[in-house]
Amino acid sequence: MILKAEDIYRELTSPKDINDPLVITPMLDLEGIKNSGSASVDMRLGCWFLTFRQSRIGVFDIYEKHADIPSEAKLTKSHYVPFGVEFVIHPKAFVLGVTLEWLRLPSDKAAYVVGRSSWGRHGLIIATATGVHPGFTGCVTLELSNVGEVPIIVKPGTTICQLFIHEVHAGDPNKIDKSSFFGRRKPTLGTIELDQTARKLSTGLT
Amino acid sequence: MEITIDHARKRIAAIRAEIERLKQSEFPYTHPREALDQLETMFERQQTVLEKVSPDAPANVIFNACSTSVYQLFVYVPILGFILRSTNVRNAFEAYAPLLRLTRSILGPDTKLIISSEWAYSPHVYQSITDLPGFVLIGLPAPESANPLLIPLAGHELGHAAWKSESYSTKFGKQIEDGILNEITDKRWKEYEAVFPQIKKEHYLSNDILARPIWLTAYTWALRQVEEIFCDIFGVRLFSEAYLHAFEYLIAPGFPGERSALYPNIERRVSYLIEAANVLAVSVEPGFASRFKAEDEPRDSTTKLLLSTADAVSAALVPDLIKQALDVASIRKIPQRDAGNVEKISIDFSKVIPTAKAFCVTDIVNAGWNCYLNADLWKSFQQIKEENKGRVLKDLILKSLEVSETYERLREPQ
Repeated sequence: MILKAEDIYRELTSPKDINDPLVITPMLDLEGIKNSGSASVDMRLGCWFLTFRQSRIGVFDIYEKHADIPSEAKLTKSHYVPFGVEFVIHPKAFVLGVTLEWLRLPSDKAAYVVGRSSWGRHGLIIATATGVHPGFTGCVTLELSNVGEVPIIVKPGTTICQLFIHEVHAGDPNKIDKSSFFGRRKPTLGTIELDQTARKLSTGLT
Repeated sequence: MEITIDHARKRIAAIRAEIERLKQSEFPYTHPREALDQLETMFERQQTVLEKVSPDAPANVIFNACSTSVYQLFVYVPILGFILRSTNVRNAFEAYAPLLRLTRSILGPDTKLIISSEWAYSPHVYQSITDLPGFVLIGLPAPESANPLLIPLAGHELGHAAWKSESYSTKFGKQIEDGILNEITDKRWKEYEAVFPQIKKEHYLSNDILARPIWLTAYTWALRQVEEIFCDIFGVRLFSEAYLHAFEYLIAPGFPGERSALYPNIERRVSYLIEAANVLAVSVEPGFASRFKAEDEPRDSTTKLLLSTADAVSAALVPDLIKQALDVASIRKIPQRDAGNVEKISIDFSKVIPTAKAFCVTDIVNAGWNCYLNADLWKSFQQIKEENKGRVLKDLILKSLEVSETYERLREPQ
């Protein structure tokens, strides 16, 4: 079940379990959520971006030996864009951004981050329904891609995506998200780990 | 002479070109760029002067013009490097706005601030830069410049700026001079007579040219020590317990070998910190003092005597310095650490969430230190591996500073 904005408001202001609350901070328009009538919360663009250092890598190949996979620092360049300063996303550019809000999901909630259609219609695609798991805490990394034909200016603090929150039924409350995205304020690439099955299937017949 | 002028002109042209390149950097805040603009104007003036100097001018005119330009390069090239490093993403950018607010409340609303990293293992403040009036430049050691737990050390550096703005060198100068002469001619006369037998008491008391270099050495050391003690006390006033923790993190147990004459011996420096903490009702961890090791005193008997004289005078001024530091902070209405707020923020951090409303930088970093020192922190969070705890805590502190700044900005009129 997707939570309506007024349910989200209730979760934020009077959590069922104060030790396992839903948190969105900074929460700049709490009354707006209460009265919106929608089924999502708007999220704003944060101040950190990652761009890719195309000239430093030939190819990104996770099938290489693990030690040969380039690090995030080698693959990307970090940018800090304070409030009031522009960041230009050019056509075909792909950058990682981050939500201004730090999100904490209780163990019985999951969420999806979806781009705002108004940005999408201007060519700026934000993520592809990023799933956020129960127990997650941190700022959500956003995949920003300009598929339009004109450069797009964005500034931190702008509402850029929306968060849909779902109830998660049953399950052990202690079994929660253990991803590497936990507790971060900056966007991150994360790691793509090959599981045993993929490892076996990616090897040719000998 | 033509080649001398030619070299000088080319040096200035090169630095101007470099400033032009630096201006293309990604400046997160406007003040570093404004500093570059001012330095560019200064070097432009230098170039105009050099262009006007004729190769046929008298040698002293040429030498003066060229050596002035060398001096300017000598002074400002390191500052340009500092400004460039202020753009590096290793810096704790989220701390900039709260520190700017704090700096302005101490030094005035027009003060400009540049926070950067130093490739020297010592926090540093550049002050009184002739061509950058109104700027305060604070650097933290590069490997720690992203570490928000060390923000309190900026309190010591702001202390230097407050010391300068309040002209405390002049205010304390006479007390120090009297103290040094009193130590020499009264309390330690036998020792001084033994080490400098040719100098009589009246030489000291009449400011005789023979005695002056002797007591002036002790005076200079005492004055520097007194400033450093003041800055430590100011740091404790601004950041409370967090200053003590950051101080300990950075330098405990102290440097090996012989102490610097410009600071009290680390053992005494720590005792002054504790004295200030007691006056301010700032808690000092049990065993804090024992985690510092006294540095070696100089072996040379003359240096030892002069330095112990400086030490005695600086020690006697500690109560006055505490009072001055407290007065300055109180007149400027600098808030003190609020234990209730620190507790609230610590509870949020223990749930791995940043603050949900605006708090001052002092309360946030104190909460950060509370959590850092809590061995049980996040024991129940399987998601946070031991090796990641430090990174997560730093992210929480910096995010809390950003959240607070966001609310502060929204409070300001458009």
